[in-house]
Amino acid sequence: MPIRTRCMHLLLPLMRKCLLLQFQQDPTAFMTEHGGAGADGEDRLSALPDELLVLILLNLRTAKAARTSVLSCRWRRVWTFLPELQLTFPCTPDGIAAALDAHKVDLQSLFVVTPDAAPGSMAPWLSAAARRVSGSLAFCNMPRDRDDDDTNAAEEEEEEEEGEEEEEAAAFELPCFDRATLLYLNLGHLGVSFPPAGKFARLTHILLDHVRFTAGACSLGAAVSSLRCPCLEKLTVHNADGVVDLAIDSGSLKELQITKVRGLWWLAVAAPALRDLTLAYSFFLHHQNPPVANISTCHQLQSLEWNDSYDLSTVQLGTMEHLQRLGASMYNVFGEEGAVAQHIINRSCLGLLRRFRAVQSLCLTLLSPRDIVGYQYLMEQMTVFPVIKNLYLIVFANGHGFGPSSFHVLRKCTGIRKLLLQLLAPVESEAETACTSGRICDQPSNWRTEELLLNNLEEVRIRELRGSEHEISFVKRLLNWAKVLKRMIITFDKCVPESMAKECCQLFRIYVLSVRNMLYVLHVP
Amino acid sequence: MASAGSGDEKAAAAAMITLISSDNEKFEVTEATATLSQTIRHMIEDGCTDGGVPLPNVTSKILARVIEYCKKHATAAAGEEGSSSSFSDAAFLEVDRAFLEELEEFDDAFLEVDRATLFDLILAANYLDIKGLLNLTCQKVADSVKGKTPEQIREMYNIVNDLTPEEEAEIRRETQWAFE
Repeated sequence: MPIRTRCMHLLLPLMRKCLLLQFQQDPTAFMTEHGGAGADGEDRLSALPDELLVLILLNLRTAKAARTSVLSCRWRRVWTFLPELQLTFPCTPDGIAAALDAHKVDLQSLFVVTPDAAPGSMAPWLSAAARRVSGSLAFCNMPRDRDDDDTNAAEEEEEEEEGEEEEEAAAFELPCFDRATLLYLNLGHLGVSFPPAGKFARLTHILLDHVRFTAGACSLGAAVSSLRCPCLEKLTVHNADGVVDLAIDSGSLKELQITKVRGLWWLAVAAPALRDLTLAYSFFLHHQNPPVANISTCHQLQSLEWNDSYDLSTVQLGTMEHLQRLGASMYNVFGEEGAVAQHIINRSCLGLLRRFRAVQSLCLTLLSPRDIVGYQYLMEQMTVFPVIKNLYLIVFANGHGFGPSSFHVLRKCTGIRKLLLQLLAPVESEAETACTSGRICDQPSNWRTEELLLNNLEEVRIRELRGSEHEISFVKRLLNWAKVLKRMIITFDKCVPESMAKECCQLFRIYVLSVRNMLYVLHVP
Repeated sequence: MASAGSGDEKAAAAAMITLISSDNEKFEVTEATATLSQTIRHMIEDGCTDGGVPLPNVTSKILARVIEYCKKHATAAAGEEGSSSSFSDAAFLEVDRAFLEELEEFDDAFLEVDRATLFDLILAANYLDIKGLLNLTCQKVADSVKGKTPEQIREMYNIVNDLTPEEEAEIRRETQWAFE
């Protein structure tokens, strides 16, 4: 009899009376029989339908769930109906293959972690995964830190077999994921190449992290373009080697992030639907030949984050009529004479600021090195700004004063309505980073005395305020300049005790029109 | 009675639903509470809730507990909606967090039941299609077997091992990866 019906009968009024009688006669035996903690009761767990047992097992790690297969016949196959597998303990390739082999249903999600996988061990389980996964496939390979000459046995075997150089041997070819919708690969710098043919028919998201692309029959660009990836909407390539040329031709791509693709020199993106583009730390390596980029046909672009070298003569950005947000590359507030990298970075930032006449939001990062003795103050070179409404200013001051540089920026953007000031804490501890430059970093000191009319500034948000004397002085000045401020939100750094945060806010309160519109949050959520 | 009520009261009265347990007990709940159950939501949408909603699979004892859960979570959902519309700001996360903590405490206390009730709640949550309650109760069962050996799990839930030693050995071989 199904368990539900049985329960119902138990609780029919007549039965209830009988039960009450039983209970009165022998309460202990009654509790055991009717679902107390006793050992002789019925097995209500196994009586649950498969879908509910699967729901229960979904709350366990996959290995634990699979171990229930030895409980009884009833339990032998329950785990094989799990729609998600997390083989993250971490797993050997044989184990992954065995798990996929025993598993019965379509996989909405497969998450695999291997410790230092040999490239030769990847193909069998990956091709099984490609057949089975209809949702997301995430794979993370965690390489052991090892000495250069201590190559592992599997790899050496591989080398002999393939008879190729080590670089080539340590690579594998991805199968064609024609059913999966999301592909996330963190390969721990394992070499990888794309299959020469076949479609990634349903992939909408690809994230490739810590990958080393090896020369294969198919380039990264060709693999992710519309011919092979007709549905791709978001592509992220992060921490990659081996891509010098990247040409993407996609009708579906909406978001593209390329960060730390070391050695990238030529980038061409033809993606009419593209809305977000991020390029960071990829072009910078080329000091001699300026890298070439063409994204001039991405007419729908709304957000452009270009934290990389930008050379007007080799980078074509197009008209970008819909651009709303510009993230310019970082800017060194102080510089050493003749430092090429610094020069390229700053020139790129200035070039981008000059490139656009008006944009709704601008993100700017001001960077100060730890040691600035003998360095030049470079803010004076920043003269041209687009007309903006919102300014997102990130300050990495490294213990130095940021008043002069921030004042310089604000003086160029007096029309802003919203300001978000993000103060990044120095990497080292406070004591180590106390400014030793004398008063160099506080020069020019006109920010302390000069007036500034920020007559449209209605909202200020400050993140990770640490409450130093310099910070307090700057915020007070800022509040003096912003006469129509309506709202202020301060988030304090986690090192700040609540009493100090409250005290700071009391200091600032008199400047804000309505006390109710001033908020503070102790820590970054 | 109808003429005495103000507009608001009428609206509130109109939004009440009667749920009838398997042992014929009637429970009056607001529509917001009742519609945490997708099953009941569909019945309301189809306009077949006049004269009460009979729930032949749920006893009054369990239905009372289910309603207790739904009431709390319906209020929470309403509160969340309110907070997100008027203060969308990160600064109000603190408030939301306190709210969520309270809800979590409620859930923990709610789950302090004997095993028979827990299974009845799972079946009721499944039948009534109340996702939050179903996840909560399934999680509770899962938590109870965490860190337990197969033998301990069998004992805890009165599972009879009907596998022959050979079969058990075979399964262990097949799923060796899980026992490593």
